[in-house]
Amino acid sequence: MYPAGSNSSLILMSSVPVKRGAFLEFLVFSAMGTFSLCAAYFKEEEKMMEIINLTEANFDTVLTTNNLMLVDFWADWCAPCRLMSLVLDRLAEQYGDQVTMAKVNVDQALELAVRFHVLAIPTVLTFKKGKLIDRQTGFMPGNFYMDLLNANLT
Amino acid sequence: MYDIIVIGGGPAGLAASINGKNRNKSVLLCSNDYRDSYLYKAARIENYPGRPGISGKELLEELVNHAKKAEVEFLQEKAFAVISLDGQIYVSAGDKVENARRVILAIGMASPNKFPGEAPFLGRGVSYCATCDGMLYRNGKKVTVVGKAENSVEEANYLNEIGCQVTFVSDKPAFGLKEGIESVVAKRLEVMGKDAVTALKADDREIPSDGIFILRNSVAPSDLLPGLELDGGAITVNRRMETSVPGVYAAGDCTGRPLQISKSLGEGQSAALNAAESIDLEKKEGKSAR
Repeated sequence: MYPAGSNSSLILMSSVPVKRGAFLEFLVFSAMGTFSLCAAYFKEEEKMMEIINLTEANFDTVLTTNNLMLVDFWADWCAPCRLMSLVLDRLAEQYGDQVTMAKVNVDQALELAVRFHVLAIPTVLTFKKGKLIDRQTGFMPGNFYMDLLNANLT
Repeated sequence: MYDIIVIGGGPAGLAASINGKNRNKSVLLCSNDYRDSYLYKAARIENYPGRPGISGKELLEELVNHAKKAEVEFLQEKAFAVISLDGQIYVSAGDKVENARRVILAIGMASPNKFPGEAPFLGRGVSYCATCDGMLYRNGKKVTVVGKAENSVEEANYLNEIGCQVTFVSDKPAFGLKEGIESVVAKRLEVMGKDAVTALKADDREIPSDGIFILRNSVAPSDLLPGLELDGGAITVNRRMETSVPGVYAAGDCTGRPLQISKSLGEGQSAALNAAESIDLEKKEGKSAR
């Protein structure tokens, strides 16, 4: 299974809040191009969350307007990135709007990878109030990020 | 989803796979080519009870044939990452992600020694996975491949094909490299850099590099599954061959001394039988490994 972030149709619509459980239905809908149906579907969900697709164009704005943010650098040809995505999806579910989850597709936003010297993926950068507080390359388990986020939630 | 994924195709991994199938479990064995195993090169084995003088090649071939007969599924890919999530274990190997109820690590003894500069520059130019990160260097970037694994030449050729400028460093002369790849023989290596990697120092020469791919036969347990409890580089296990991560077992050389074939076969068997038993129990009780 591909996690949410590695689907290109999801990226196009990344400003639409996504609930994990709705992912399969979302895939089908977006593949059919029935965006209106899709939007109606999400309106019915109670708790929404957002995984933001970052590009050079929106990075700085998103960074300065969010308190605590995890940024996952990934690409669809990277298998360990799919594992990382699964972990981030769970974290997104768990932390809801307390933490902003974002992704950088290094094929689409190579400038951002260059800017942060990301030369291996998955790499996850954690920012607090716009400042880089943690950097992990390769795969780290969910409880590592839980400890990190819990320590920085205030 | 498989019942059991076994990582590593040496005696422990093969014994685990065969015994998993004997207990009617679906088994995926994920490993390098068995001919890349150092056991394959052993001309004579004197301490394997009952078969004095058998060669490593002969023993491995018998085990592989047994596993094939038992209908173990083979996946010839190197595993890079393992995670436990929602009571399942996910394994990323090559360009695939597979999942299972239980995983048995039979990854052999990885050298715990890293090169100077390797750890601090991991992710800033140092990479262990050509298929993961090669694409980041595809636009004519200079990459140096440190060939410590049997298939390193293939990986170097892949990096060359996708458009990297490749230098190949190994401790013995390398064969089969594509035209355009420079081969360097060196013993003492050091990763150099500032914010990111700038060069690999190979004996007395500095090779300018944007990226350095260090390719070893096996991934160190702490890199494969961060958080796994280790004791002096060996994976900590109990009598059931369970590791500190629920659902993950370990067997063979990776659990420590003695590094012997019969110990590996026994541990592989034990791990598989215990894993199978816990799967059966879980199905009966309807609960997960968590």
